[in-house]
Amino acid sequence: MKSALNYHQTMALLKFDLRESFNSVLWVGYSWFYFLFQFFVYGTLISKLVITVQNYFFYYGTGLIILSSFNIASWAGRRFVEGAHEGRLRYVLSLPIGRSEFFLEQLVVGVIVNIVRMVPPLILVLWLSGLLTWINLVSTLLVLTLVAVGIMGLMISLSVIAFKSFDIYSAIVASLSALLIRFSTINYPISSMNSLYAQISLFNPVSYGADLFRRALGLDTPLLLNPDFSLSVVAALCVGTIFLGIFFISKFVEGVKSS
Amino acid sequence: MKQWQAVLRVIKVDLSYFFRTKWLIVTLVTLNLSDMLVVGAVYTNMMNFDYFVFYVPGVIIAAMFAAALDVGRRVHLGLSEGVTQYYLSLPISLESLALAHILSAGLGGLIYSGILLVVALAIVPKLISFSTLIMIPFMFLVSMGLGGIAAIINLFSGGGDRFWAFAEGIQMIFLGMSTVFYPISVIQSFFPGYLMSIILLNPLSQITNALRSAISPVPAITLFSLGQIAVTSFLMLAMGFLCYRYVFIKVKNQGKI
Amino acid sequence: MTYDLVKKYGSVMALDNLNLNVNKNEILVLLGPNGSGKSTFLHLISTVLKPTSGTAKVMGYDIIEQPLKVRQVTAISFQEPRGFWRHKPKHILSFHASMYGINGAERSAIVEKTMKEFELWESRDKKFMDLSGGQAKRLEVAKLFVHKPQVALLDEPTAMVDLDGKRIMWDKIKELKESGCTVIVATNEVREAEYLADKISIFAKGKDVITESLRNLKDTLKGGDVVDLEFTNAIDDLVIGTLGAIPGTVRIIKTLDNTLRAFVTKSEDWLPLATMHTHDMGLRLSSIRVAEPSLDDVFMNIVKSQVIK
Repeated sequence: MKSALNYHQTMALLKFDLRESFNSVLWVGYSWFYFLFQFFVYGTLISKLVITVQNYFFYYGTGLIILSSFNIASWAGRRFVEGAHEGRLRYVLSLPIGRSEFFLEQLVVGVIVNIVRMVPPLILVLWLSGLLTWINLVSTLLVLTLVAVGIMGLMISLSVIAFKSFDIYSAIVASLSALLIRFSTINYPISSMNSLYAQISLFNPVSYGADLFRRALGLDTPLLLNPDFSLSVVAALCVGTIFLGIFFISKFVEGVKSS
Repeated sequence: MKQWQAVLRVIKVDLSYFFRTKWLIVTLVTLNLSDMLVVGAVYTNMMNFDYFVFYVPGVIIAAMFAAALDVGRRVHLGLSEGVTQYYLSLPISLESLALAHILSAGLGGLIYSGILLVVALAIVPKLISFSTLIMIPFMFLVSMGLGGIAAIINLFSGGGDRFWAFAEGIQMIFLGMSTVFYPISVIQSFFPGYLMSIILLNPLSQITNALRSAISPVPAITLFSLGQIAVTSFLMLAMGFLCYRYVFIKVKNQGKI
Repeated sequence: MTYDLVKKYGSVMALDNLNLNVNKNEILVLLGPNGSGKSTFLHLISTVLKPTSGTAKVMGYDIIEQPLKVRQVTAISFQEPRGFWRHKPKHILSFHASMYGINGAERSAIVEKTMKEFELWESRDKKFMDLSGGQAKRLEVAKLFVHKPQVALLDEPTAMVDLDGKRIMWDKIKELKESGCTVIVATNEVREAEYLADKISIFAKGKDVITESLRNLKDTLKGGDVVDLEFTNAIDDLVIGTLGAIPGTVRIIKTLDNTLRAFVTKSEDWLPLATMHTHDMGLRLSSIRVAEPSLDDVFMNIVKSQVIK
């Protein structure tokens, strides 16, 4: 009975949050515009300069999809922090829904938003590369979902710790962006990095996510990290961040301070 | 209180928001430094020229743009949170308030990019030159111009959360259509000719090129190029000033934007 | 029922070993100055906040051990109506009802009825952020009426609401109680407390200083009842001395030759004795007037005494 009730509540919240997330056409449109501009303008210009990677335009485009997933995950975390400050969080905390279910619901909303926003750019990249087949689309979507769950889980978990302050959350996102994006294979392969940067990037799960995604797209080059190991790292990231998030939300989250 | 004193007080409040926590500024500076030291360095390995040295001034100017827009975002928040309405109840004229916000953006952008410039001087010693020094007041001018863009966004984004979408979009277009991150030769091979004059008139291109003149003699700083920076920046800040003024009049008439 | 409930925000003690019992199906009003811990108490009971130590039971469920069960029987209306800025009131209430298992046609009907009762129907298509302060507050309170929880927690339910609206909301809160709900209201407004309360609990510095019915609370104020006596003839010091010796007399003064003003703790106990003594002394009373202390007086007195402590 309890689980049935919780399922009903979780679905009601999921539906409500999804409606809110897609309420603004502006944001969805903006994310597509952002991708297109980055891909065609920045991607074309930088690929005219890069000489060490064959078809860097495609490499850049695939990295951009993972980067956009990171940005959407940051947005989901920010939305959580915003919710705490706008009073939405304390209201949800007063509703008959378990904390773990609440975390999972936030995660699912974030992943769905990510997929919906990223599918059109993904199709575009596949089409431009002449790789648009059903198999490629499904396999890349599966990998993208896996990567999105991992990154989303991480960002929401961090927002759960930092929910009392926008500044703390902004600092966390900036630090993670410096670490997880710059020191990763999102924009450049390991072989282009000096040894120190390469060592750091090899400890970064985002590197494995980005390269696994490229493999799923059909890119097969020695520039990419080992696919089996990459899959294991990304799966571990997903499971790890889900447990971490559930632990954090049960341990730390409460309504904002009141008199 | 005299108007100039009121302007100074508003600037102080605007900047206190921007520099509210030292550790956040440190984190953001670290992010920009990681751009310089990691992205710039790795791309140099992938290209046939020293992209790192080329990229560093670009990062400084891009950071200046972000900082100037962030001050504008504070004004936007102030509009929805009632801070502007409070300002309008104080003995400060609409024009002084508009000017204060533009000056705040100029100072915010200059101080933030100044921090990065100091670091950049350490990692790219070639930047230490007289031409870099004379660029500082022009960076302030451009930063105020970018504050003017924030004002224009404030006018068109209205209430709600559209400011960020507009700001990020405009930031991306301004940076993409400039020589901030890419050499002019590459840009010329991609953009049609009629867009080239816009790209070259973009104050971001002008100020970044001017900063680069310390590293490379081409393009050199000329009185004409400095005049161009001054004129385009002034036009943008003047438009921003008028936009803020219009926004405040609207708030006075309607209670909100 | 709370057991040594403590909530600290850093070094600030918001609730200090609170032990409070609320009976089923009564309206308990929490009165207290700003920062006395009223809102914190409601947030703890609704499991929005976690206690630093101690616990509480709501309808038999422990707020630490069974928070989900607690949330299934409680609902809170927050002090500041915030949250869903871009949603319409109808959607907000509809979502709230769905979270308590009300679905389909029943939900639509309840939402419409509630919105009409709270005079929100006209604003059903406005966004939350476009509502006036009073409308937003009414919407916040209306949430509780779409599902009628077993325990309703209301934090300053009528703040920002006009006089007419206050009346409507007070009557609705009373209806809530009549439908079997236990209601806890936190407020600064003494008139609200007088209108609604079965019992009043006065909070100060995170503690429940006193919990009593309105009547008993007024009686706690020493010399709070003012009794004016008018005699047919002039009175002397003997009369003042005799009446002043009646238990519960705090002060007695002669206002005119034939009138007295007595400050007593419980006028209903004091007056029979006073009339008896007057009769024994052969005097005749031409008029008696009794004025009770206001709840403001009681409240201020209690809070002041806590501040001095």
